[in-house]
Formats: sequence, C-alpha cells, structure tokens
Amino acid sequence: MSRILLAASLALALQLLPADGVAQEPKAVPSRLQAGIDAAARGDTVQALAILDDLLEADPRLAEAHFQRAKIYASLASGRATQFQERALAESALEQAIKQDPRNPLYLLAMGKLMLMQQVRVDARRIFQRALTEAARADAATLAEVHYQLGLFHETQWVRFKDRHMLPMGRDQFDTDMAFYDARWAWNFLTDSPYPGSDQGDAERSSMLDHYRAALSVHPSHRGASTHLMAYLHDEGLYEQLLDVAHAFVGAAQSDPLAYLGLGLGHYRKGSMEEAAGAFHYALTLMSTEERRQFEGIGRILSKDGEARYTGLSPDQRLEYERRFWSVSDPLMLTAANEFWLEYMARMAYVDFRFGIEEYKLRGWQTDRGDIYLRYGPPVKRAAFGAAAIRTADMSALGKVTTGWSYGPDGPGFGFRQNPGFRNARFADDFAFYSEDFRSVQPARFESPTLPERLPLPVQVVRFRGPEGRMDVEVHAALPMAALGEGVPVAESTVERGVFVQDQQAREVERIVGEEIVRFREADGRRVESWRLSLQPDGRYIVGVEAREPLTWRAAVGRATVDPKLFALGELSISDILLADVVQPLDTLPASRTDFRIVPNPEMVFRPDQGVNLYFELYNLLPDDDQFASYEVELAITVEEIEREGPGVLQALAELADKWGFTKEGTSPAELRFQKQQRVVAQDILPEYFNVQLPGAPRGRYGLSLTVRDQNAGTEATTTRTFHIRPAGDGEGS
Amino acid sequence: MLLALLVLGAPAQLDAQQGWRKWVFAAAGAVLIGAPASIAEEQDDMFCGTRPCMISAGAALGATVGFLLGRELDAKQSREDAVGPRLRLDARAVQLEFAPTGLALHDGGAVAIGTQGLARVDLGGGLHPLGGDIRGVTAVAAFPDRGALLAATPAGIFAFQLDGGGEGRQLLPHSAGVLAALGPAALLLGRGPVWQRLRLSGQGAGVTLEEVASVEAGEGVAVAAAHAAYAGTVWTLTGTRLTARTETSLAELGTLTLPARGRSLSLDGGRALIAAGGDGLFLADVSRPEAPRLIAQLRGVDFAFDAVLVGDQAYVAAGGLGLLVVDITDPVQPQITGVARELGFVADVERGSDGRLWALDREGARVHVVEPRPGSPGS
Repeated sequence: MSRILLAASLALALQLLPADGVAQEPKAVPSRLQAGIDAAARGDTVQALAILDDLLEADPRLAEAHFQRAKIYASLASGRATQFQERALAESALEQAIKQDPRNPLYLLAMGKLMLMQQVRVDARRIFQRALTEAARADAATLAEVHYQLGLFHETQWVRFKDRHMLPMGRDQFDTDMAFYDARWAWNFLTDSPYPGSDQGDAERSSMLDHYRAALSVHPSHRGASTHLMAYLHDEGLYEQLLDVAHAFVGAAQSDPLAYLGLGLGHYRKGSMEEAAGAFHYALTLMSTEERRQFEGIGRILSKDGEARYTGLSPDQRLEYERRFWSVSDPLMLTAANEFWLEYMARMAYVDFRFGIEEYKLRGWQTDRGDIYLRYGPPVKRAAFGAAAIRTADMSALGKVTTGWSYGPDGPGFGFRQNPGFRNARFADDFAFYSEDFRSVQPARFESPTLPERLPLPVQVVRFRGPEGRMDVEVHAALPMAALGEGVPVAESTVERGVFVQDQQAREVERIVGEEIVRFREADGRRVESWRLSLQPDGRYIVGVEAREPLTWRAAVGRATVDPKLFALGELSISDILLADVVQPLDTLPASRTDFRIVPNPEMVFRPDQGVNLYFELYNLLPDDDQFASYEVELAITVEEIEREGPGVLQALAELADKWGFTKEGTSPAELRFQKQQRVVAQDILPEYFNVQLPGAPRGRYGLSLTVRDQNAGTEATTTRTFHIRPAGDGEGS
Repeated sequence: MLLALLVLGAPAQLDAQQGWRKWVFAAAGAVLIGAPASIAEEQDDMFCGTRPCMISAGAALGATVGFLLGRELDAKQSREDAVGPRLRLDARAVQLEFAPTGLALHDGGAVAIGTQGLARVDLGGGLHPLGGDIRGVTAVAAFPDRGALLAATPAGIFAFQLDGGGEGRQLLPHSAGVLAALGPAALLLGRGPVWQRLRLSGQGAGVTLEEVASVEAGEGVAVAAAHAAYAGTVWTLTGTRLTARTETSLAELGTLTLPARGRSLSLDGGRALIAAGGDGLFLADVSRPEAPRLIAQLRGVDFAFDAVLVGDQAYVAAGGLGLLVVDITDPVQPQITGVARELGFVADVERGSDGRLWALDREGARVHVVEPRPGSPGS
C-alpha cells in the first residue's frame, strides 16, 4: 500500500514539475538554448539536437530553437546533389522558424542559403531579396551578411560565364578521357575553343560587385565580402584595387589574418616583396595554432612519398623540415625575401579567397582546384564548357560543367567537373589519379614576378686540405656578364653578387656578398670570380653563387653540392682536380698553390684545341731515408658520352688515340691513360699539374680519373672529375 | 536591315532608345532560324515534320534565343548608361610595346612607364623607347630644356637622355615614390615621409642633383605632388595629408587631413582634386595655402585611379569604366556628364599645357591623346 502511495506521490510531483518549468521559462529557456548552441559549437551535435528537441517539445513556437536545429542540419549537409537528407531536415526546421518569426532576416538568409545548396536558385534569390528588405531594419552585420550572400549568388552565376568557351567546330564535348591521356590534345582543344568575349555574365558580375561593396560599406570587416572581392580583383589583375580593399579590411579588422593575407597578396602581385613578406608574417601570427599549422604545412607541395614522411614527423620536426625546405628552395639568396615562400603564401591566400567555401568549412587548399593552383599556379589556359554541351553518353558528365586547365602543350592538364551553380568543382574522371601521378614527376612549380629570368651560372667547386682538419673549398664561378648586361640602359650599373654556403641542416654558414660597379659595354662577356672558404668536413654543403643586375632584375644563379672530404693525418690523399684554362707555375720548383697562376674554368668545358689544364695537390707522401718522395701519377681519360649523331664513334675514338699521342693502355677504345713518375724532395703538400692536349676530340662528356701511387708507402689514392669538350662557336662553350 | 543593325551597330537615334536590342535580336533570330526551315523537306515520320510546324518552331526558337541575347545586351547597355551618358571624344591612339603602368607628361609629349622599359610619346604620336629593359620604375620626371629624363627605381634614381640616345647614369642610390619637375632646374622628390627639393644642373644623362631643402612629413608615404608656380607653393600628398609648402624651403604652410589615402593630385583655380581609389574623389579648397579645407567627397566612381581638374570639370581615370567627365559646378552634387568607354582601361590621365588630355589604356597598352570637349556628351 505504501508503495502505491509513494508512486502516486511521485507521479503527482512529476506532473507538477512542468508547471514549475513553464513558470521559470523566461530564465531557463535562454540558458538551455545557449547550452544547445554551445554543444553545437563544440561539435557535439547529438547533445545539441537533444537539448533543442527538448525545448521545442516544451514550446514548439520557439523560433530560435528551430533556427538552431536548422543550422546544425545545414552544417551536416554536404554540397552533393545526391545527399539531401540533412538539407531536407534543415529546410523543415527553417520553415518552422520562419513561420514563428517571418521577418527575421537571419532566418530568411539561412533559408536562402539552403535553397542555394539545393539549386533552387529563383526561390533563393527571392528569399534573399526579402531578407535584404528585412535586414535594412536590422543591424549592420546582418545587412552585410545578406548583401554578401546575394553577392555570392551572383558570383556563382558570373563564374559560370567568365571562363565559358564554345566548343571547337566539329567537337561535341571536352573529352576528359582524351585530356587525361594526352596533355597536348587538351592544350590544343582549349586553344581552339572560341571565347565569346569577356562581356558574358557582365550583369551578374556587376550585381556581385554591387552587393560586395554594399556589404563592406555597412560592415567593413566582413570577411566573406572582403575576400571574395579581393579574389575577383586578383583574377582581373586589378592589384591597386585589391590593395585598396585589403587596406580597408585591415583598418576594419586588425586582428583578422585574412585581412593581412589580402594585403600580402596585393603587395606581392605589385612586386613589393618586403611589404608582402611583412604582411604574410603578421597574418601567421594572428592565426590559431591549427590554422597556422595548416597554412604553413608544406605536405601538399611535396611528392606523395615526401608528404608521407613529412606528416609522420613530430610537430617540432615538421617545423624544422619546413625551415630547411624553404632555405634550400630559396631561388635567390642575394635578396632578403624568399621569393618562392612568398609565392606559396600568395597562392595559399588566393586559393582560400577564391575556392574556399565557408559554409562547408572547406578551406581553399582543401579543394581540388585549390590543390592544383597551389602546386602549379594559375593555368596558362582555362576554359569551361556548359553542361548542355556534354554528350549524354558520358554519364559522369551529365548535366555538369566541365572545366579544363592546361599548363602548356606538354602538360600538365587537368579536368574538373561541378554541378551548375555549385561552388565546388572536383576532379573529372581519373584526374585525381593523374594529379597524384604527375605529382611524383613534379610536386610543385614556382616562379616569382620579381625573378623574370634566372640565367645559369656555372660553378666549379674544388676541395683542398685545410688547416686544423678543416676542408678548404675553392668556388670558381663564371658570371654571365653579357647576359646580365643585356638591355641594361646605363653605362655603369651596380651588380650585386655573392657566394652562400648552407650546411646539411640548411643553415647558412657562409655568406659573402658585395656590390661592384660594372661598365657592361666594356666588360667581358663572362667574368670568372673565385672564393676560398674553410669548412668543417662533417656533412654535405650546398654552395650557391649568384649575381643580380638590379635595374633589369636579371639574375644568374649557380648551385653545387659539396660532400665532405676527409684528409686524414698521415694518409696519402689527393685534393679534387681543379680544371683550368691556364695553370702556369711561377716558380721552377713550385711548393704551394700560390706558386701558380691559375685561370679556372668554372664551366669545365674546353675546346678541342685548347688543352685541358689540371691542378691538384698531394698530401702526406711518405719520404724515404733521403727525405725524397717517389710517386706515380696515372691519368685516365674516359669518354663517357659522345654528343654526336651517327655511327662510327668507336672508330673516331681509335683515331683520336693516335692523334693524342699518349701512352695508351687498357682494352677499351674509349679510354686513354697517361702516366708520370716523380721523385722529389718530400713536403707536406705537393702541388701537381698537367696539361692535356686533346686535338680533334669530338664534342662530348669525358671522365678524368687520377690515381696516385706512393711508391715508398705502397699506397694509392684516386680522385675523379668530369669535363666537356665543345668546339668553338657552338654556343655552349666557355 | 536587321542583319545590318546587328553587324554594324545601331545608329545613335536607336541607341538612345532603351531595350531595342531584344526585339531586334528576336526578330533576327526568328528569321535566321525560321527561314531555313521554310525550304527544308517535310518529314512525315517525325514530330512537327510539316513545313508550317518546322517554320513556326524554328522561328520561335530563334526568336527566343535572339530575345535572350538581346536582353543581355540591353541590360549591359543600361548598366553602362547608368554610369553616365556615352561620350565620344576625338582621340589619337599610340600603341605601346609593353604593358604600361603609368604616364608622366612634359612639354612636347609624355613618358609611359612600363613593367619592362619606358617609352616617350611625342606630340606627333611618335614612339621612342627609352631605358632598355629597366624594371620597377616608380616615378619619372622629364626636363625637356635639359633633354633629360629622371626615373626612380628600387635600385636608385637614374638619368637618361630624353631623346632616347646614349646610356643612362645613376644619380642617387635610393628610390623615390614621387618625382616632379619644379621648372627646368629643380626637382621635388618624395621618398617615404621625406620630401626633398634638389637643384638640377647639366644636360641629358649628365645632369647632377644637389639637395636644397629636405623635410619630413610625419606619418605616411609620399604619393603625389603638384606645383602651384603662380603662388610659389608646392602641394604634397603624403598618405592622407595634403600639405602646402613653400617652393624653396618646403616649409609647411598648411595641412588638410583627408578622410582616406589619396593616389593623385591635380590643382586648378584654387581647388585641388585628389583621386582616392575606392573612396572616390576629394575636392579641396586650396586658395589659402595656410588653411586648405575639404569641400566635398565625390562618390559614384567604382575606383578613381587618377583625376585631372579643369575648371568645373573633373576628368577621372576610372579603370574599366573608361574616362569619366564629371561636372563639379555643384560639388555637393557632382554629375557625370560623359563616359568615354572607347579609351579602354584608363588608369592614368594627365592634362597637357595645350589643353589636350593624355589617357593611358593599361589593358590595351595604348596612350590616347584626347581633345576634350567639356560638357558636350555624345557626338
């Protein structure tokens, strides 16, 4: 009995509770609603929906709860035409919200956006216009958002037109299968497809701009309106206007990284590198840790294997990897800015502005087009072909817009597809596979507006034994003065030049820069510059030599890799061979490098009648009891590649063997040997030199192998070198 | 006749009528597609295979396509007309050989600045390349009496012979954002917040510079300058600050802070016109150098690249909109009295001493020498 009484009491109490709840509604509802909103913001949509459903069960007229439910379902919805369940739920919830509060511009705006997702464009536009009317009475942020959405609406239309081409005569479609297999076919197709003119879609463009500007006039810090307007201005090459918008954005939203990215993008395209670098760096400091990690992550511009290795690193290791990556890929160490890093940042900013879709939380670099743009920059040719032009037999293309991007007749070329009116385009057919495949060939391609031309600068690096266990490295470079001075309009110009050494960790360990006033008209076509550097032989180095003419921005860049070479104490060893145009002893018994006049040949290219001069040093020859060193030098010249066409190469070589008159040994007709024996007063360093005449030698690549045998110690050491023979006047000689 | 209209364009009388294209194009479309159907063979075994049906269907299809196309063109025309009435100006175009970024006038012609090189355009339309492959030129100033051209680049300031002969020479090792000739023997140079007056001597590429005065304008970057020779003053625009200075010592006489950064400066009749990009134009009263004041901010132009003031007319380089003629008789309610679209993407406009305007079409890589006819839109 008591149990029955207890149950009855509980039931009564529970029945009374809702009445209490209703009585407390003015306070409880906002806090419960906020709890639901907070749960959604945390990503806990299940809890958020449960809270909102509870609220609506208690009061189905609660418009804001309907609206929040709709927002959650809309955020779960994808842009795919076939995935409509969440969109339908969102629409239903929004209808309820609008029913309860028909003049709320935010609800109307959300409904318009949802309709856009569902491609109900006419109704979407009508609802946006209604939202605009209601928003005129609302706050500036809401009004700006409505203008922005209307701008997006028109932008989507305009983007469909701006790249639209007509199919070439006799073609019924842009065949992505053909484009996939033949990049040249794709290039020719895009070249042959007539462009009706830039006026198409002009009305949409005009409306788009009006709405973006209207949004910014009432709410200057509006991200979407600012970034989309900047993307448009970038596409049109209107960089002054882009900078203007970016300045206004920065002024209105001083802690928004997108504003500074826009500023950096504008400065970069205008060629103001230092300002661009400053803006980009500042933008990074304003980003959240995760956003910054995504922004600075370079996995997407590495090969697939490289990306796998990179993503497997710890956060600290990744930072170090990025630092090394950019250090090594700096195209011009002479300048303060890393032009390729700036290009990367500019591309990241642009793809985010142009291809990012905020409502799907899709950043630009996460889209297929963004990925390709990021790696290869803007396509040389691009064309979109309307859905109607696609043959129905190609079911994957049915009703979709196909866009072709080509980077040249030799590729790469890419195809994308999208539903008309959708903002995201995906790789067409097998282009996702092609993209990954091409990535293994060329992960990325960078260029910079301030590097119009990078001329080759030949560098010969020669390792000698240095003091205290160090390695001395001679760097001989041929500065292409004639090419650098081409088009220079002044009699005298200040040429900047320098040598740079990075260690294995890509840290700069040596930097020698200077300026020199050059009279190009009087200067030789080529100037040989030399440096001697002392390095620790504990890792691989990258040596760079650069020269830049600052009036025409022409630059010459040479790079060489230097492996460590240990010259062990007490052991016979040889320096590298220094190849020179002239090696002339200044003393009858030269004892060191300074006893020679040497004119290096940085290109390591000789004419057949020129003679190849070699200088090298022998270390630690063992003296005999009379303090004399006895050694034998054997020089083998191997033909590695003959750069001429037709048969009879071996015969030609055999003839050469006679012509050259050396002691010929060995069985290969493509190898010649020369020997020399010496007995000299022993010394710590013994400089040696040869002059080898190769009359009539055909154009080609030759190998030098130098072996020294210490006859007192019975040891030997070998070093090798490669050089080229090119007849005079063929344009590639020294 | 319809075809002639489509191909040759409409006469002005018809052009004045709004929305004619959709009807003309619809009619043309109906004829173009309906006419072939009238001679097609009847197909008994297909839907609408009879000749009357094929003619009707073809004409309807053609009319629809033509109507839609014409409507698009009407809308475009209507948008263009909304900016202002079309203005056809007599202009002579000089084709450049590089992508131009700016224009500087001098007695006897103009110098076009390009992404790669410079070119002098003489009054007869002759083109004379200058400066080889020079890049990154930020400003130029010509001194015809000395046969010299000064060009500022990030690598320094260089002198060239104005006739293009010989080789240039570096004068200063630093760059400048503004170079302005103050007569035949003086140069005003703006660099960052610093303004300098330099004395010029010598001839051609052999000219030399000697500093006479230097002032720092505070915050901002030197953007533009204009010489009011009659008043012995120069006006400098540094960021948002429009400042009157004495011609000789550059001492500050008065300053006006504008609501936004300016891009260019033009003086006429005691007033100054400042082009301010997306912020439109600012009109200032500068008749009293010690107390300049803002008269009006003129909007209605998407982006004012540059502007020239001639009496009550402002000629505005409005980019893709072309060259706008704005009547500022009532500065509070300026009226766009003409839009010269034929001049292309006008990014720079200057007024010569003979009254002719020089407009730079950046996308078409052309310099237009224009005969202005203020207040007479259309032709």
